[in-house]
Amino acid sequence: MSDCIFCNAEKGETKLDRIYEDKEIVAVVHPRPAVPGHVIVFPKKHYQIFEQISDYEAAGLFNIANKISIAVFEGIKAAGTNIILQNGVAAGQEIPHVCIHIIPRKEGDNIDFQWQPKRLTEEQMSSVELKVKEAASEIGKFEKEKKKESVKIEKKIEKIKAEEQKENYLIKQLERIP
Amino acid sequence: MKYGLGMAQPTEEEIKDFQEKMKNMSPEELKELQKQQCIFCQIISGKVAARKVYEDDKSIAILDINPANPGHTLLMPKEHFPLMPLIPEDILAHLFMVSKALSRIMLTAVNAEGSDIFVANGTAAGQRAQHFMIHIIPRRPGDKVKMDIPVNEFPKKDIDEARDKIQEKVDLIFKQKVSVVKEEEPIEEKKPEKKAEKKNEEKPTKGPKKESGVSLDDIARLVK
Repeated sequence: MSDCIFCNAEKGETKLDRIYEDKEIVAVVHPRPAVPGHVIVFPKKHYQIFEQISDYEAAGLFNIANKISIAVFEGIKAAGTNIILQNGVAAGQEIPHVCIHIIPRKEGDNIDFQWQPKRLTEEQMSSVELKVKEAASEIGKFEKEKKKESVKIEKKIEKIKAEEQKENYLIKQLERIP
Repeated sequence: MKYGLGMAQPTEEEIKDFQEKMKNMSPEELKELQKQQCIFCQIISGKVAARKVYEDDKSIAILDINPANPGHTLLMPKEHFPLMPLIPEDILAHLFMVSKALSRIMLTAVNAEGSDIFVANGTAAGQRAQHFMIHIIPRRPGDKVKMDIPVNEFPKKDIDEARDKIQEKVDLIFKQKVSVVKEEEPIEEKKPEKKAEKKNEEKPTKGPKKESGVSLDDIARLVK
């Protein structure tokens, strides 16, 4: 974690130009942009890869990224935006902290994300389809809210309060003794 | 080719007729028209064949027929939306939760070691169809998929200009100023130094003014 630029920025050790911040998420100007207006959105908590984030945090992150992409689009009058999450070194992830890139696009900007399609035979496609389908069938329900944690915390708070009240009662009794 | 790569260019007359018709259409009729023209809506309704790999009440995922890598999946909402900003929060939240799950299963299904989650809003960004979709591209080292984000040099002025314009819009959208947290003050002070050529008087008052709506105008004037 000491290597993570984003976490260090959070501690105030390195400076990143913030354009948005809330309790959980930050958006900053990319220090080495592809284009002026290249923004990155990332969670304050340190997560190396996307799969580590909880469902509701991922949803929150992308909702903020969506709004920021609207701001980028309108702010610099872009013709389009790309929203990219590079997950894993194999995908080109350079910083080991989940981040979403928002890149404003214009015609003729010399940026190209068009991949060369790979030719697969019908058989190969069918085989891939089966494998992905099978694996995807295990996708279950999503954790849409922070339910469990908040319930636990509330119970803890209640316990502590109850204990405090007990102690106060005892102290009061002592104080009454002349 | 199946997906909207070969879209015929209509004549001017046809465009005018179409625009006239559109003016008289109700929102429901417009939606129906979009659905009829959208190849992905036709896939969703089952009229056109595709390799479906995941489906639930809000979304559907199919294999891309021109994949960057085997397993390249297109995840889209069942309802027709042309762009991400038009999608309601709950559907967007659901879509990205699914994308995370799909990205995870790629690790076992196609031996991926990573994934790209890619969205193109607008033709300039590479959007090739009018139906919003999220590309989930499984990646392996050395797979020669060209998804690297370039790094380019720009004059500081250009970067700062873009940044300030975006900041204005961000503040409008979220109705807050960046300097919510105290740590921001050192960075905020840097701004007046950059614009020392312009107005010096307004900078000291920038601090206390932050909470009122007046500072946005100040920033706008400074940018001009």
